[in-house]
Amino acid sequence: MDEIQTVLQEKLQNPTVFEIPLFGGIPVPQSAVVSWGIILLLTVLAIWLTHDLKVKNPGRRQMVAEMFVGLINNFCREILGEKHWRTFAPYLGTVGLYLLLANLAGLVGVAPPTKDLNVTAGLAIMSLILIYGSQFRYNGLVNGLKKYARPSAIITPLNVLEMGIRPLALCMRLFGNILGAFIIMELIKAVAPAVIPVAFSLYFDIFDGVLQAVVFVFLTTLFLSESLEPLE
Amino acid sequence: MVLNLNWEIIWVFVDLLILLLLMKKFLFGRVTKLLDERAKGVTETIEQAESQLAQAQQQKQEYTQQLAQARSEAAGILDQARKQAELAYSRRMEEAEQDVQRRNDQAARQRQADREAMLAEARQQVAGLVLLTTAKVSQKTLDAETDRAMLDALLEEVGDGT
Repeated sequence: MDEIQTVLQEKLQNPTVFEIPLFGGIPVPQSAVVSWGIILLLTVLAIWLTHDLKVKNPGRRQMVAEMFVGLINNFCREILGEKHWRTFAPYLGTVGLYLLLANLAGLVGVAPPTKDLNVTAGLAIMSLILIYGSQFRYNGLVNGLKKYARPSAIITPLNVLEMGIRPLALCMRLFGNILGAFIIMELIKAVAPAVIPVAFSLYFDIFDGVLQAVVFVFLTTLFLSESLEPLE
Repeated sequence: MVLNLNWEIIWVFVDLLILLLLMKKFLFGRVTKLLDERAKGVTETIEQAESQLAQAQQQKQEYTQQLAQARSEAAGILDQARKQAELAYSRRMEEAEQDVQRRNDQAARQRQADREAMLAEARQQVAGLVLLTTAKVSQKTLDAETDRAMLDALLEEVGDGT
């Protein structure tokens, strides 16, 4: 039991992989290295999928790219409206792709970056900036402030609180789910190293991972659409 | 150290922005542009098809109109031709009738003239015979110039008759 605990404790750390020898050494955490791997993989995949686009008679590779981009575009168009979807679809799609691969990293035995609180907090802060930044960017300063008093002035304190609650919820939901799944999977692997983890991995790695990626993007889009909604 | 929240969070921003730029360039930008182009192409094709259909319908209408016009013209021409033919026929018939009438009239006049000539001759002969008979009966000498000439003519005719 103690053995398992030590192994688990070790796995739960977010070790610094190496230091960039600049400005007295910049530490690079494990999550950043895995993220680089994801970035590389996604970029190569994207280039491979879209290097030969044709308007007529698309190939199989192009169809995959079209299907994914079409899915994100339609999703954003439906929620954000015809006016704004072009601005936000690439960001939301990128976050979705990143989270999908990050959450599924456990499948190939890599520690998922989303089990690092820094990563989920960073994503939540970016969502926060996106949501409240566009509230002022597209409504103007005065109307952006007025939106805090909607639908009623009494709600204003809650709306202000939400600025902290929303990103915190986004961050902790994702972190908790992935960390929990990671711990459970490590425990199962420690108890039964063969065959059995595969069955559990279907739920904890694949289903939960995909679900959390979708939830994160969906909620960000939903909050964003609320912020974009013009004052009547 | 499980809940590690520190300045290393900057890596997330850097990584995500790099990924965003790469994805924008290689995936979303390209594919969205392509989808837009295709949508535009589809819209254009539909518009073109609609305009061509409208054109075709208009042409069909024009042709139908022209056909109807041509038909009515043909009917008019035919009608005129028939009228002319009837007119010519009736004129010919009239002419022929007139011709027959004229010939009939001519023949009737001829017969009349012949009959009159015959009657005149017969009257003359009868007159001669009457004169001769009268002369023979009256035993009168033939001195009067007129009588003699009458007699001569009578005789001659009798002689001819025998």
